[in-house]
Amino acid sequence: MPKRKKKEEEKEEIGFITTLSVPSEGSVGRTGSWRIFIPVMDETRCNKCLLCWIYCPEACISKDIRINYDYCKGCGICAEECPRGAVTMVKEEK
Amino acid sequence: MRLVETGNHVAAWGARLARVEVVSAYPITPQTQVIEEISRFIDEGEMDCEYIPVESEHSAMAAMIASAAMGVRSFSATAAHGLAYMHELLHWAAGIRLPMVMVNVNRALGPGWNIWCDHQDTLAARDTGWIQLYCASHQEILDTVIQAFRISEDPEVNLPVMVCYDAIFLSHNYMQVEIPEQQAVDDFLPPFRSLWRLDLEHPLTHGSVIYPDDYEEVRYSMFQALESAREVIRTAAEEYRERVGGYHGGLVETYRMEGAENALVAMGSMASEAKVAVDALRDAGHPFGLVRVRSYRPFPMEELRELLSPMRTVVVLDRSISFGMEGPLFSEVKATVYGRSDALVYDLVTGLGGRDVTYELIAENAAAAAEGRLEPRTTWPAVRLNEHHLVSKRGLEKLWGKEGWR
Repeated sequence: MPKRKKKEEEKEEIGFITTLSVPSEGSVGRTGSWRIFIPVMDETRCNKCLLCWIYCPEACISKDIRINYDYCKGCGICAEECPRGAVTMVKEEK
Repeated sequence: MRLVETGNHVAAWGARLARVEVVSAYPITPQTQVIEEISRFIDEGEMDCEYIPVESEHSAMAAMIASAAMGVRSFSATAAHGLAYMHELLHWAAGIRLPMVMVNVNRALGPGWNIWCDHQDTLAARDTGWIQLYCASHQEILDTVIQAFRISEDPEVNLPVMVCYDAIFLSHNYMQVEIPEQQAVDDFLPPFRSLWRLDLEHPLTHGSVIYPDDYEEVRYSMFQALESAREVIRTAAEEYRERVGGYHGGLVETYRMEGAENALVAMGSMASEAKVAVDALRDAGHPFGLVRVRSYRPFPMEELRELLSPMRTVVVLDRSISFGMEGPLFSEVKATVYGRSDALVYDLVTGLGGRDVTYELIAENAAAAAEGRLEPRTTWPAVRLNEHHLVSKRGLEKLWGKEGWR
């Protein structure tokens, strides 16, 4: 950490360390690897109500109802919320 | 302008003169008058400030964190159980390095339910990373609240500051106070410009997960900021004296330390009583002086080493107790002079729960220490144990008979 008596041109360096972050995709890695159950979409039952898009806590479902499996942790909220039973959680083989 | 006011109303004046923009607080005795007076200032258009009424102290500090993260000058007030209730968020405010000021009216913690003065509440919040400044007069409350914003917002500090003053003795008694001109305060305290702020156009989040690879650096940075804060506190006090007027010491205030061979060490209003004790001790032929610790965090290590190392006897007055150890101020004074002094250090734990600490009690025990009639350890000079204090078998027999409650 800088000391108090600094030359004028060095003053820019004064700062501190804390936990600020700019939100960005995949900043903590591919969290899809945490998944045990994978959501499988049955497009014939989906009526595009977008409840899954609203409820997904990780913003992993796009507005055209495509699931980003790189980051989906398999929490199952989309399956729980879907009123048409179009999402099924299936044990994932790895 | 000269007013005769309570310490609480004086703290509200400090917030007003500092042009605080957000106040979030929950009322608690003996702090309530602070936020009552601020509400009145806002209602009467004398303060351009948003007052956020909340349902608890935990929420009060959460709202303070939010407003400070928006880059807004923020102020709160609490006491005792309120401070304990927001304890978790004290760590968040300091850890995210948010400048803000909160006054804490030092009040004892229950049980037994007690609204009177001691320092247990703020000493229990010692290691949160907050700067802690302790006041000994009404004028000092006003001047310290304004100085606290300068210290808190200094780019080398970026930490919240707690301004502590004693319940009832300072919070509710009326004393004469000089209210400085707004222009002088504005010259001393420029508008708050934070290094970062929450902004919808440039999304940013704070307090997110960090792994063992980075956490230690965050704590190290806080440690270094408190180290730097020592010089910032000294400078703020000096500049305040020049631009606004009024000086109460930097990290410490001394009284009759010239030619002293023995010293008293105290914090808060008890230090004012200790000045009277110093006069009495000097009259009785004991060359005592007083060192009042004004900044408890950061601790005035350099000042205390210089002042206390040459002493024969050091008597510490503790208005709180670390159970299972000793008075906290006693421990820290000893640690500060460790290896640099032959002084014998004594500890008087007294004044808990608002018990009056008289100059006679201080002088009597300090003289006993100087004459070697006291043990250099923690003693409780005012404790008087009576039968009615005890939960005893014999006493309870009156309630339940010889068989007991079974």
